[in-house]
Amino acid sequence: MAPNYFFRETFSGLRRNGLVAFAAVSTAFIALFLLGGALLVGKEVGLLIQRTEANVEVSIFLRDDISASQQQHLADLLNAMPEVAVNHYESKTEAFERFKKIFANQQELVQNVSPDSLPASFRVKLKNPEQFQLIADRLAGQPGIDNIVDQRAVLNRLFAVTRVFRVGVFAVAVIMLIAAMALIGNTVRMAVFARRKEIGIMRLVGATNWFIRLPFIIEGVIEGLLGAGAAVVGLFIMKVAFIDPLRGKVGCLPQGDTPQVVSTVIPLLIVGVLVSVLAGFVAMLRFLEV
Amino acid sequence: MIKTANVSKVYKDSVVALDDVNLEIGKGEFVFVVGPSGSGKSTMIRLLLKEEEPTKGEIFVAGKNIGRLSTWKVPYLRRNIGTVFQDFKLLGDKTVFENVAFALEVIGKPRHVIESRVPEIINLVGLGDKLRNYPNELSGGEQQRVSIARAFVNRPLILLADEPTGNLDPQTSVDIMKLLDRINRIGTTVVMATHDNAIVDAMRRRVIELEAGRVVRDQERGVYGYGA
Repeated sequence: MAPNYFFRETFSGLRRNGLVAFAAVSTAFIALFLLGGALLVGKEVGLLIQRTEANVEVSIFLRDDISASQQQHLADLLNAMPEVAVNHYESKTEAFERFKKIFANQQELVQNVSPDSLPASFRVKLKNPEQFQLIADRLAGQPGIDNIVDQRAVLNRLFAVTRVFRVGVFAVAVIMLIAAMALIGNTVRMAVFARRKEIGIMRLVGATNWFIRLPFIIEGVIEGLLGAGAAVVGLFIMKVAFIDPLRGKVGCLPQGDTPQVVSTVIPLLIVGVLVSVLAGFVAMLRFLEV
Repeated sequence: MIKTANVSKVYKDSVVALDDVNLEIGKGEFVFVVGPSGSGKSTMIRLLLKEEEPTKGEIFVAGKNIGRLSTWKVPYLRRNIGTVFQDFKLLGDKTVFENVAFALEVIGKPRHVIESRVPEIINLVGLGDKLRNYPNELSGGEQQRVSIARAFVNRPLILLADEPTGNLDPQTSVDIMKLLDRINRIGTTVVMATHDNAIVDAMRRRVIELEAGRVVRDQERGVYGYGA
């Protein structure tokens, strides 16, 4: 029966081109491993943004010579703005308390700073963090303001770095995918070449194109899937061996855990299948005519 | 069964393989196509199988204009046409049974059909005792019988044979012709391209002679050549 036929043809093909098939599978593995890595970095950044954005504030640092009425005026202004979710005044003493907490394990720094040297500030949480510029523009020119800092801008610089890293990994992954496609295509072509006599007879006795091509496509897809499977296993090993030991040691990293790794499985399998099907078709383009 | 209307085939560099060929071959006929090498016999067969398109003209096979046939239907056209070649085209790593079964397997016939029909057809060609042999264990004549069995196992309407006796000695050729004659008597239209004048003269069937791509003779109960 037909399924039997495809199964047999596919595996005899894989056996015949063992070494080339191995090269194709390893390249697919590297490509999909990198792609999975890029996906995970992306998810990590996404999680980081999600968790920090809720806590970002706009800090309006006040000049030391601000008068009580000016300060009250600013507070009123901020409280009246519809974009402001929470407005909290942080006095010099409170700022010092926070400073001590942040640099708790760098005592010499804390000893060299007095409450007086830290500026008082309004800590403003916006309903929509994107609206920073609006607030900044409205407060511009008000007396008593030293400067206005959007914490998001600081974070954005961090995200920009990770973005470059991600794009880099992604680009390498794409190049490796193209290489994998060429290698899978090559094994398909070799399999077709080895069976050209059979193919000639099949065409002669009226086998449909699909019937002729399917075993070769399946062969390529199995190579792609093996590569994808190895990449998934590789990512799990990476997570257990290198990422998990970092947990709790480096600030808020890593945010991602098993669910994030699991979520890369489906995309990697899909990309593996797509790449190998495409490779199979390109390789057989010359054999498509009847 | 087969009809060609004003068919011409010109290859690039303006090599004319067929020039305005008009033929009509009825159901159940046995036809020899004769002529020297390069006279267009093989081109004719390739056109009938739709491996190539005519430059001009129309070809009808089993009532269908095959020029209008979409690509995906070509395999179904070929299921109606059995083909036999000079070089047998058998698969060396398959037995006699597997070679014949292959033709049914790859058009998706179920196992039970294969199991019943393949031994039957191998018996018909007289190789019932060699089912498990490999092609290299057979004589040339036996190999050609296997290839005929493969061409015929799907009960095609038409059998095209391109120099089927080209590699065989005269006595073996006669046996092959007897087999083709038998297949013809079952009702299959047989078209055979050949150089073999002894066979054509002995069979006394319709002869179509091609020369430089033109039909120069179409004769009922003919012989190989006027001068032969």
